[in-house]
Amino acid sequence: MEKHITLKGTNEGYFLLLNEESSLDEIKENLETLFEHLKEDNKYRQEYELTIDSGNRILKEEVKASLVKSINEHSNFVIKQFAENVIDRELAEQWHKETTPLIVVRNIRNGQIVHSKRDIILIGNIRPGGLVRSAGNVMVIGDVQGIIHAGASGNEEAVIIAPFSFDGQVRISEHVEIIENEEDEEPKEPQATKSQIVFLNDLHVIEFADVEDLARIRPEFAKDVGGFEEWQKQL
Amino acid sequence: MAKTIVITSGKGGVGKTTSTANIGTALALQGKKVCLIDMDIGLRNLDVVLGLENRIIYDIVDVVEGRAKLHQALIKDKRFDDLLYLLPAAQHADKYSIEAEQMVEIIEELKEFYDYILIDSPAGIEQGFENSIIAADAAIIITTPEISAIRDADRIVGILEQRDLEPPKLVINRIRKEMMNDDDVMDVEDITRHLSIELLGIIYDDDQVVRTSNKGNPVVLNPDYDSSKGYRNIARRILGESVPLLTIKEEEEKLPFWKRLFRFGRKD
Repeated sequence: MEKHITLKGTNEGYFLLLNEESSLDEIKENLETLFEHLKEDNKYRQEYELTIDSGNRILKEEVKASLVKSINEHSNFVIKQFAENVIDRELAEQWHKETTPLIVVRNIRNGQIVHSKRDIILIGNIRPGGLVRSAGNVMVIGDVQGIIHAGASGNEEAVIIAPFSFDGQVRISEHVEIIENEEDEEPKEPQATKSQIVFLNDLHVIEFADVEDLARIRPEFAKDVGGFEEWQKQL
Repeated sequence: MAKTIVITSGKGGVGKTTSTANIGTALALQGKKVCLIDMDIGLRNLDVVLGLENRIIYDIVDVVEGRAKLHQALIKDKRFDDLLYLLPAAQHADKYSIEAEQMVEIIEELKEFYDYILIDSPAGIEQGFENSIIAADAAIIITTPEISAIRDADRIVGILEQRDLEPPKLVINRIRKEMMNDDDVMDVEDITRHLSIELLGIIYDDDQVVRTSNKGNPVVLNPDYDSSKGYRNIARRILGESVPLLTIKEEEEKLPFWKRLFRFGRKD
């Protein structure tokens, strides 16, 4: 028969594995026995960090609290975190929604606003008077004649990727740049216009660069740093 | 202290915005410091006609709602050295976003920095119109020789006469000489007499108005067109220069020679 609980020491600290098939009562019973043993072993009263791993089971907040309470009372372990293999479906959906870009396929007309906390990918044109605003990055495949606002909640690392062949306006965080083609300049062939990236440089001034410079300018762009756990911490 | 003039018509599409841009520009050409205010919230155009559309960062609703200071929302027209400014309307709000008292505050704040404040009123006689006239010292009514525009102008004159404003003045826009000469439409004198207000100027229908404003340049920048002369004369009259009736005759003489001949022949 499998054990109800297992205490493991690893390079990353102590882990308390809770068998997902055991009942909570069985686990509590076993914990008490474990505490007895620990008290005998640990004579120096040293503190250790402990991760509680509940496997394929999500513990309720009150169960977690009672575990923390009894472990703090009866042992020298300090609970570092709870870990599990599974995540709540609602949370998973929220994670997916918040971390994948919003893809919009339409033209943004005069007076219309597309607004999201997520990165936005627009496939369509921004007409004069249209506005695309994101707390993150904005990418546009289409003509830009209106306004693109990236990092709208203050993120100065946000970038815009779009072709600029018309008069328009870009904003990153609080900074604004007006795009104006010279009057005597020949109007460019829209198809011939390459996409550019727009970013804030070290002097907090909006700058334009070629797309191939993106990896150098924003090395962390589109890299999912920390994954689910990092995202969950920010909730 | 600036004189605040509202430019209004009641009816839409008679040329309020074009006239605001051109009269404002003409006053700036005369060396006056001018601020144009677009009150057509939700359907702004004055910025487009002036070629300042992509320079808008904050608008009048941002000012009212405290997201920006007034001076941040003002857009300087680069063609004039510090003489012409625009306070743009919001595009994403509606006309009820601003209350009359807030409008009065904005005008009061602007007054000390400008010679003239021109307010481009929206069509209609609702909140947007109320906000446009609330702080105005004077009014210019724009009409075309069409009966529907004249009827609406009459209504507006009636409303304005109830208010504490200088008597409104009239601009007749988009006059087509041949139609007026053929008595297809009321002529300048008929319209002025019918509305019984002072005539400030007349503007002949001119393709150049559309052609230039499509490029973001008010027609008045080029002195050679008939319409441009009309707007320049209006600016001079606002500055108190010449007698309106005399200048109208002068404007009429700009008719091509053969047309004058033709007309002369008809009158006999």
